[in-house]
Amino acid sequence: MAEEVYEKKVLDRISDALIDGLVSIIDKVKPGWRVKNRGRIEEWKLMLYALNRSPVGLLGTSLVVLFIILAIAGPFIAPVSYDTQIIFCDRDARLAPPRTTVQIPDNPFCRKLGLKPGNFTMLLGGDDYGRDLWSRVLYGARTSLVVAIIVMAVGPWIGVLLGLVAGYYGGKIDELLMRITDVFLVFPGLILAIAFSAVLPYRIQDVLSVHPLLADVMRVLFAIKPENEPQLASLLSVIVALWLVWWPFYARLVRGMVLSAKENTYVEAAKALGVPSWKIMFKHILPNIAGPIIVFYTMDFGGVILTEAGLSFLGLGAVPPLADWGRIIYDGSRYFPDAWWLVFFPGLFIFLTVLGFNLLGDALRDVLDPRMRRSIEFKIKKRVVVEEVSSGS
Amino acid sequence: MADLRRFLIRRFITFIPTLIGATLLVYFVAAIVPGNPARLWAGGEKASAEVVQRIIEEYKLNEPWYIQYYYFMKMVLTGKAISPVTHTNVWAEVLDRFKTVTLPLTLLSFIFIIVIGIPLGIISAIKKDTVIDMILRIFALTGISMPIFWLAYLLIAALTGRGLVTLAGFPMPDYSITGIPLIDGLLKGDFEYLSQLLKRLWLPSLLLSYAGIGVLVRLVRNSFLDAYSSDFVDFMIARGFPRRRMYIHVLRNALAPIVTVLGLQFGGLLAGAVITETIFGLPGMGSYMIRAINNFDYLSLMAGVLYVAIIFMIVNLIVDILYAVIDPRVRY
Repeated sequence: MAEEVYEKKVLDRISDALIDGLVSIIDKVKPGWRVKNRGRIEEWKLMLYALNRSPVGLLGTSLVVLFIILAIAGPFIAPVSYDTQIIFCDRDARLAPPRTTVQIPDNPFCRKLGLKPGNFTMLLGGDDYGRDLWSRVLYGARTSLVVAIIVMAVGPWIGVLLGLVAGYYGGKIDELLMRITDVFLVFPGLILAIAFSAVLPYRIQDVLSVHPLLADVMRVLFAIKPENEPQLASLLSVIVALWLVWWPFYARLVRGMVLSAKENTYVEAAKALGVPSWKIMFKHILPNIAGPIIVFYTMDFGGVILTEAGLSFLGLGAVPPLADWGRIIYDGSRYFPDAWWLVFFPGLFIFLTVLGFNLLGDALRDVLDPRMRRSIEFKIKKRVVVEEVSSGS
Repeated sequence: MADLRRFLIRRFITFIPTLIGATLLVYFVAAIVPGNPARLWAGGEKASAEVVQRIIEEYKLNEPWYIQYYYFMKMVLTGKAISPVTHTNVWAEVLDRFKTVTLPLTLLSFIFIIVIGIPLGIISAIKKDTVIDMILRIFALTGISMPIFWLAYLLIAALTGRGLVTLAGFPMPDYSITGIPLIDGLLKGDFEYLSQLLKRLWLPSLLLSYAGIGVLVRLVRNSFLDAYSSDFVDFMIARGFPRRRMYIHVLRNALAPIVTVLGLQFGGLLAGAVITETIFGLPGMGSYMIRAINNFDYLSLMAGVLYVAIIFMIVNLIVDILYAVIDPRVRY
């Protein structure tokens, strides 16, 4: 008796476990979901199998996972805090007490450890204030991740929503929305983001002082100390600025796809059955055009991190002493060829992180292609002979 | 041709609301600044009340926003706008910076994008699923993942010692024919000046074009492969056409999306050079707008944005016209 079974490797088993875990969680919330969506679960597993078989995808996934782990665990595994200045007394390096600004004791044997290349005390070296670069890079990873998540959780969805509405209703609404999109698109995004993040901090400061809870949540998310709370406003202004510039592209993309998707018969059928418009848009059209959106969405995580680093390199956004990759490079560039590590390491982290998201997005383009999935299914399904225990029938 | 003229007129009409929208947007962004801009312009808290009063009257700052906007636009459009911060003519300065720095920088980057991006994309498509293709695809991805401010510092450190790059002041010729240094140098055949200009600009423009090259390689690869799967290719293979001639036909069919993206990128290059200009100390449009933003000098900012937007739209218009040249099937 022969049966078709997937030939699985270690990674495939891990992906199986991941999907099964996710499914059992959904099943708890919505009883009966697992039985109803058996086909979908199978497809999800196949997607991960396809990802496991693409070297580019694996590299991207591991870079992204590494970045996320660093960003979440960073503030806990960092040797010292982002603004601790390390003082060197006599022959043993002593970490400064947790409260930030450190008075150098009036002692001829004590001095700040400034601008030192990597050594045992400071893994990647120290900056001009004697702060540990490795710790600052770890805190910077947290900043990048939180900014990217908050920006991507709102910005593109504004565009998706407007694109859906414009494409679905067409006519005057379409014309009006696309004109507004054009206004944003004729700007180079960076200039607009710069303009917004230069003027927004004042407004955001007001909002933060009215809602202290919001400030507290943000402080915990960014892992910054309570005394640095005034610096939050300019960091948040970058987030708002990126919300405002990150939607036009999605509006264009989604509108174009909706225009062709709405001609499909399933949309016509849904309309004939009297399904409300918003339900057709979100439950029928959106899932069918999701592929390209997911690809761009993944890559844009990298794009947001890169843009945010660029903005803070120009002196907008994160202000000292907050740790931010772009800002570390900006501050370190004054000492550049001599203190090369201040520019080199943060830049390397930016590059690898953004590259990871881009590689992952590139691999997803293939993974999300149904034809690709079928070929994977075909490749790894093996006929194996199952020895049946003969029951006496 | 009559079709084309109608199309152009229609496009020009849609330009106007977009331009108004863009400048209004800038105006509102600038207007969020709390406090009195007059005080900022007059020199901060210590400014005398008299000067502040004069600035308020000169720039009509106590009028409602639509009158203020109208007045600002009128000043910018008639070329009479004097920046309250730098006390120079806004329009003249924008033009000057555009002519001397931004135009050569953008053109050079644009040439880099085309000369490097298109061949690499074609190679990647022809060698599909080989090691070369994989390397080129990863190269293209590094292009869009690269923080150019980082790469710039590394390259400057590596190259300045060898005399290949200079960060000295921007070279200007001592004669003027059209007022555009690049064209003047070419007209006069002044190769010494041109080589100076090139030495100052090649690295910034190469870095500026890196992201664009990345985008273009991916795009050329995909659209080349799309065009390659058409029926006419099967026919040509069956007919025994030489490979090279076949590729030319395929490329021509793949050109429409490439031209669109190139047009968009030209606009992006124009003002996207902010970071590059900052690192290399080039006095271009990008650094001008950054300075305007930092000084809350929204008259200058409006002029700069208006200029970028107009050029961007003209480039897009050229792209639309080019469609018909590339693909005679396109009708307006």
